[in-house]
Amino acid sequence: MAIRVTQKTMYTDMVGQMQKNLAGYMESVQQGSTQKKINRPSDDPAGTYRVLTTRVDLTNTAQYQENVDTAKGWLNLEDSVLATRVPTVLQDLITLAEQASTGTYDKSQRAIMADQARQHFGSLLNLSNTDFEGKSIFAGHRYDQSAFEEGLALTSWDENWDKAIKEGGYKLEGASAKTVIVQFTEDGPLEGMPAWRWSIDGGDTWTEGKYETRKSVDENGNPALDEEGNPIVDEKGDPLLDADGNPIDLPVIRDGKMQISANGVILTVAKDMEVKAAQTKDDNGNEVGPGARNGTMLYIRPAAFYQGDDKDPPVDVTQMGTPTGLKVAATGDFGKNLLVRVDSDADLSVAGNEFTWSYSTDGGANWITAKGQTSGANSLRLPVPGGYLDIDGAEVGNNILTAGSQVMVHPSRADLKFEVMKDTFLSVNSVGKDIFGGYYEGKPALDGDNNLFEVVGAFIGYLEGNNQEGAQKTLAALKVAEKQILSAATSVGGKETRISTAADVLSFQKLDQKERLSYVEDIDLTELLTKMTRQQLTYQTVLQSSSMIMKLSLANYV
Amino acid sequence: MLSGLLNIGQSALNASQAWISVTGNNLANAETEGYSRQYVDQKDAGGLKYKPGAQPLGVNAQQVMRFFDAFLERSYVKQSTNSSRWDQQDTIMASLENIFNESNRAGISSSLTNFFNAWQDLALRPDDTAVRESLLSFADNLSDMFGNTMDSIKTIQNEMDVSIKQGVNRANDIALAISELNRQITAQTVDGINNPNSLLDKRDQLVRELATLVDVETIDHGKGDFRVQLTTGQPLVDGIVTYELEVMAPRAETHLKTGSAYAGNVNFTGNDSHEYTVEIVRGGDTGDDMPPQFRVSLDGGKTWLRGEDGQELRFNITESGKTDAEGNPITDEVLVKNLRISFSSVKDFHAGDRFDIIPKDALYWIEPSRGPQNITPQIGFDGQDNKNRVTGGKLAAYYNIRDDNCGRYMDELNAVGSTLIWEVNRIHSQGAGLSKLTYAQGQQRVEDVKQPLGSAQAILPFSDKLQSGNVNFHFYSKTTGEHLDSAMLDFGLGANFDPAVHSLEDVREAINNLELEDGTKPLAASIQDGKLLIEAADGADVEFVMGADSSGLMGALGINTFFSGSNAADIAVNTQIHSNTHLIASGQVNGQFQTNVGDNITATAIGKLIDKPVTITTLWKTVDNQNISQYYANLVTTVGADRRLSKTNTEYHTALTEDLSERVESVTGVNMDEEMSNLVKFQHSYTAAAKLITTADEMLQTLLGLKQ
Repeated sequence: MAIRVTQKTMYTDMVGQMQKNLAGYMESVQQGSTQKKINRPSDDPAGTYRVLTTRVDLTNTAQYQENVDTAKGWLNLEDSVLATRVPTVLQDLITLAEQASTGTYDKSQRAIMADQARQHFGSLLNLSNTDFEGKSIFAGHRYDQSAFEEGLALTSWDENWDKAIKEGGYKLEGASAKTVIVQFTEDGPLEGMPAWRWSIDGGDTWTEGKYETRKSVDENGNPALDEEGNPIVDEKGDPLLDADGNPIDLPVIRDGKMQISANGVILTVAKDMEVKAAQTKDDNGNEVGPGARNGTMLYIRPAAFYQGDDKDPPVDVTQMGTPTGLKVAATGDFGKNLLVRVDSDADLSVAGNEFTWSYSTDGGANWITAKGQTSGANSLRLPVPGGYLDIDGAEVGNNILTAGSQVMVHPSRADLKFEVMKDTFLSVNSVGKDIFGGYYEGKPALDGDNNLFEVVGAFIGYLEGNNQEGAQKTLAALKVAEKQILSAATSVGGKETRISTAADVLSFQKLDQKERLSYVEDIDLTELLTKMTRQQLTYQTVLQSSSMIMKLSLANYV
Repeated sequence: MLSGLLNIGQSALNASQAWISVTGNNLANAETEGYSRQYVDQKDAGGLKYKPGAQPLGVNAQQVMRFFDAFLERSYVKQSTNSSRWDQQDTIMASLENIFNESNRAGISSSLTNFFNAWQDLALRPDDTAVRESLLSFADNLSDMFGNTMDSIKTIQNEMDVSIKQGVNRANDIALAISELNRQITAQTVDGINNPNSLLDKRDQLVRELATLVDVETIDHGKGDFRVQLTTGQPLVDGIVTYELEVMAPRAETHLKTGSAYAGNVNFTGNDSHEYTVEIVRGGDTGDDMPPQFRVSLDGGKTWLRGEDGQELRFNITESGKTDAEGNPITDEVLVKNLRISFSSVKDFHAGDRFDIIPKDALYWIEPSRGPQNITPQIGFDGQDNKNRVTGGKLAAYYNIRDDNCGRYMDELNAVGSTLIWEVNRIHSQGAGLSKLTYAQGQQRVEDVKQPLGSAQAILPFSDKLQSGNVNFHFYSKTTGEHLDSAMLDFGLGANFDPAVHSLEDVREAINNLELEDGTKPLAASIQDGKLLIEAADGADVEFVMGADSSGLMGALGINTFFSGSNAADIAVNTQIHSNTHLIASGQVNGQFQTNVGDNITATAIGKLIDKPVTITTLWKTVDNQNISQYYANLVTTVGADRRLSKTNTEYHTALTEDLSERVESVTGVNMDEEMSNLVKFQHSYTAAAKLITTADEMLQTLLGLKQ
């Protein structure tokens, strides 16, 4: 059937066509003005998803780049300290040590060298306290304070004492600008109050050392008490008296330790330390300098004390809801808290008992479940990310490790880690005591010659004590310490390489992401312009034909 | 014979006049909306039996009628209701889409990225106060973005409510007007003689308008016996009787099974865009060993709510010890999605009993004898219209936008918001800032402090996230800062916290029982308005730092958390942190029980959330392979796709409607040229008829002249 056309249909149709064409044209104009083909989610829903996620990726990449830049700042500084500046100081020290080792220099010249060595010691201290943006780079997480502070430490010329020093068996309080040399002139344990003397000018003048004493009989005639509160008496039960019947001097002992003080420095040390008398005069009756090898000789000289943070074992382990008597220990390099949960009962006394357990590295938000098997003998070793857990159930009733038991592995941490690329973390700081040594928690932080600060500190002691043999020892030790520094520098250099690789990857990534974003989001200008020309033409056609039809009417002819 | 001729001439004159006046009327009404062109129903008047052949009687102009095709009109009404719905829906969707449009401006997506990157910045400089301040402002900005987006959606919902009220009023007015027209039409119709054409046009026009509001169909039994009904069958007008549509406030209906002796009904608080069907799955009384249970469906019983683990959720019905206004015992409130549901009688629950909760202003058809029938447009989880409800017209558009689109987007936004809050808080609650805590104010409220925290009765936003485990507290001297001791909660004989057993009061006791090595109690915990408050004990020289928490308890209670709130509408930065940026946790207590300024482990972990896949569960889906940003981008994509759907549907239905409109117009519309040619035609007819009379007259004259 031929359709009847009415005026109304005609007008509605024409206006509709015009609107439709104009709307399309306006959309093109908007695309032209924003240069984007997606101006609202409905323009391309799937494309919108890609636009939004790619934008997130781009921002992330920019953030990684910022992380990389900051990491670069830290590592470059660390590198320049460890690879350039510390070695320079070390070279100077080695030269000094070489000179001091030869017999051609006398005491006064060694004193001048000592001044230089003190300067170098100060430089090393400053370098170890280097900060980036106010943060000490060698202080672990405790970077708001200096990594090292200067103090006093002992160098001994006695194996017995060396051992005690290594184990942190003494304490020094007070300050002295010059090395204090302490020399014992009698044998025996300290308790017996062997005679000693001290000097701050390299042994030219000596001051007689004194012990802190008390009388064997107090003012009321009662015998003095020992540490356990028992009276100190002889076999007959009488107080200790001298030949004249007067009370004798007894050393003051606190917690098994005795104190001696020299030039304002107080040394606290175990009462049973053995000392050997030094030979103070040679066979001809002349005074012998302090470089002598016999007897117990102590140098109280400068040292560096680590103030920062460490990441040393043992790892703290917290048990939560575990059966009484359970013992758990963790070994390994964990880096962050780790939670372990036992999901089904395990009989530790038998072998082959299957059970399930889970662990979480994100504070319990997600758990990864694993199957385990008991190994009998009431002990169990669970492998966990970063190390293993040793569980000892010998003292647990039934030897059952009950379901629901939880263990938190709580390691020490000191690494400041930055994410330099997705999932790639890099630690940018260092624990100074593991590089420079020094003292930490009352004892030398590194053993023997690896401990740079101790080597240099002892060197100062030797120089100020005019100890040529000591200087020779130092020369060898400095070379060992130098290796320690270099290996730390190598590790930093390795990190720098990784950083620059990351930087390269990131800039490629950014380019790629930008291109992807542009591909989805941006308008193709040529295409748009062609389209607009076409739309313009269509609109003109509609206008022209409409106006022609509208002019027609029968009224024109009747 | 001759007088016959005169009669024929006269009837022809009459007919031509009638035609000319109808044609003139058509021309005059060419542009009148709803006017159907008319014609004269003329018939050969027949003839008398006569020789030779019949004596003709001329023409009979019987009645004026409309050009009208009832089938086309019905098709048009049916189709236009769809285009009207989609056209309206598309217009509103354009506004909704704008809320989510981040093409050329900042939005939630960019704010999320900025927020997480601010944490990465903090990881670079954990001690830097300026970085902390900047993180705070990014967090505020993110909260604002969430809040604004939710507000904008709510504004649209409110506009919908206003439009719905107007639409329903108009529909009721139209129904009344149609019934009045029906009355007049019956009165004025004289079969075969008089047709009330303009009244009929008016009625058709009203039906068309009604169809733009709601999907209707008509049944015409002639004259005023004209029925307009919803396509689901409920009449709005039947002859001169009308039925009302009504918008009613949130309400519940009880549908007991035969044989059920349950005497109470369901109570609820809260609003939601879904309709809840509550079904008793285990009968009995609240005191039973196996307490009665119910399950909940949001799609009228097709599917039942499931937990994150895929298990169907079943809620225990327990007696609360409280009574209603009449002193009858009532059950505990249970939080199901957005509603708190309880029952007004505690005994005789019967398996199979159903309770429908419509927690929103909804549309009802009122049947005087049987009460309101729910006809609120509803869209199932499969995206299909519920065919037993209103599906067409603007009302369907308003309701669909309000309940389905807005409701869905808000649910999704809330899912994004609550996931963000939970993930950040879970990590933050175990972290340490630059300052230690002297008190920690819980941010999340527990409704019933005596119920196990993991139960639906406790009503705690993140209760489903709780796990068995324990919380570590680290204590430091306030004066020297040195570490005094660390301790964890003891729920009897060293037992861990168990969400299925321990209530907030138990947690409070466990915190109060914490002891230092020297036997002093460092902390005093109290519950204020359902929120836990932990303070250093009176006179104790103690500060504390929260340690590892395998249970999620502190995160769920809002202790030492970064955000307060539990969804997109109320997300905000914890006020305690807002007033002291040093409490933003960047590190953690380490294995040596120190909190060091250079520790960035917590900041790194939170910053890492930007690309960490998280589990997000909504009614529609559980997603566990997308990060928060991707999930949000998905939501924007959904909005875009919805807009695109509404656009496509609009185009499709508008094209169909236009086509039908053209076909209707082709029957009923006025073509000026046609009418003009009719005018000429009937003018000629008139002249011819007049000529016939003149001829007859002349013949008569001739005849009379014979006699002279």
